[in-house]
Amino acid sequence: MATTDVSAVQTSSLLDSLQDFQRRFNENARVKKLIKGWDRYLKVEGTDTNELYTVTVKDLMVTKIEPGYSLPEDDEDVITLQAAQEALVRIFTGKYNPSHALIDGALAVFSGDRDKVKLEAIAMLVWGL
Amino acid sequence: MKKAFELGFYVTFGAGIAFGISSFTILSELFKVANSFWLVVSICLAGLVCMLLSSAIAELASMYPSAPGVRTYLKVALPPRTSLFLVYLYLMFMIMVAGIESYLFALVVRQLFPQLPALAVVLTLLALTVIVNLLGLELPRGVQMFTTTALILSVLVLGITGASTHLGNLHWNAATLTDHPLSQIGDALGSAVYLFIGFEWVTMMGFSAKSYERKIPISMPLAILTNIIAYCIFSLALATRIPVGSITASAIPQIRQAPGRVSSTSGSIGQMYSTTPPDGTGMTRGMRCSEGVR
Repeated sequence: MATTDVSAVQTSSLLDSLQDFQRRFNENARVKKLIKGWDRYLKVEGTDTNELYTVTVKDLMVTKIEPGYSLPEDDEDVITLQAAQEALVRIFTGKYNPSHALIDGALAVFSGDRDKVKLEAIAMLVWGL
Repeated sequence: MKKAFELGFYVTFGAGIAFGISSFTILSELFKVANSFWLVVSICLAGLVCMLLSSAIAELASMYPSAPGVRTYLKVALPPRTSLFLVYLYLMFMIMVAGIESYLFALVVRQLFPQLPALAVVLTLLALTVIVNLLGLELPRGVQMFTTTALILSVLVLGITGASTHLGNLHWNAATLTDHPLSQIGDALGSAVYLFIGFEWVTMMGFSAKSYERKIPISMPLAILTNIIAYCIFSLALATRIPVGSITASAIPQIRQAPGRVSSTSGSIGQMYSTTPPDGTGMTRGMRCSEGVR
């Protein structure tokens, strides 16, 4: 399993890791260039703990991280990420390349092809993966 | 309605990916090793083999939903070097398929525009495919479903129109059935399986995790069944209207089937499905697959 330890931040929960991701995401100027006109909702689901969060990307920022999910299931702006909680924490702290996680079968992503490419690019810019 | 749309999308995607221009070339090759009766039997058997394979693929897809197909399955099952070796082998095969599809596309285009150089057509097609991918252009799902359905239906209509009134030309009799059937099936079966390759690419297209429980597993045998019917009817139409020698002499027998043989209208349709990649995405089978492996 390929890992890249680029973060000194130690997180203990999915929410902490998402908040760390939010900070890095919002501080990165190159990410803002990349996501112009890209408003999406990330539905982050821990398959083993059933922990669920909705991360809102709006106006070039991660604006909200809310527990639960209240949008329609077939909303085309929703990107669903499913994995074991430990894998999600490692992904959102930059310790596990999401592309590798997808190939390893450790992460499931349900979205359009363009959104998948966009997520890969964001991971490259935020963590240099 | 939405559930039917989702299942319809998976079925047409699987059927469309498998139904490339090279499918007609394979049919032409099959006529070299089997008569029309055993050719149809071989196509049905190959379809059944692929349906069995699809059940294993469906199981893997439900374990690893949305994973990039064969890359993940091999990585999980085998040591890293072995799995990577097999993936590269698979990629090389797909590049080869892309080359064959491009070449056949050029042959068909040259039937319409003989003055165009084949190499220019191939390079233009490859360049367009690269540009489409770089720009991230993608047809809406509804349009993909429509184009694939229209093209498979046109094949069926042409086949039925061509075969229905000339079934007597098949000359099936006791000798047809007893003429080394095992040898004919053995020679044809391997090539016939190739007619269905591509149905498994639907495992990357699931709308949600739930899709992998029923819809995607069901869609694969349905896509294979669709293609079994289309290939069998079209093969029978070829056999009833064109001498076997002429079928096997051409890499694009569908061109011989269409113009001037059924009617001028269906001839035009024949030209259309010969030149239009049926997956509705603007890419031939090999190119779509190569893009999917990335």
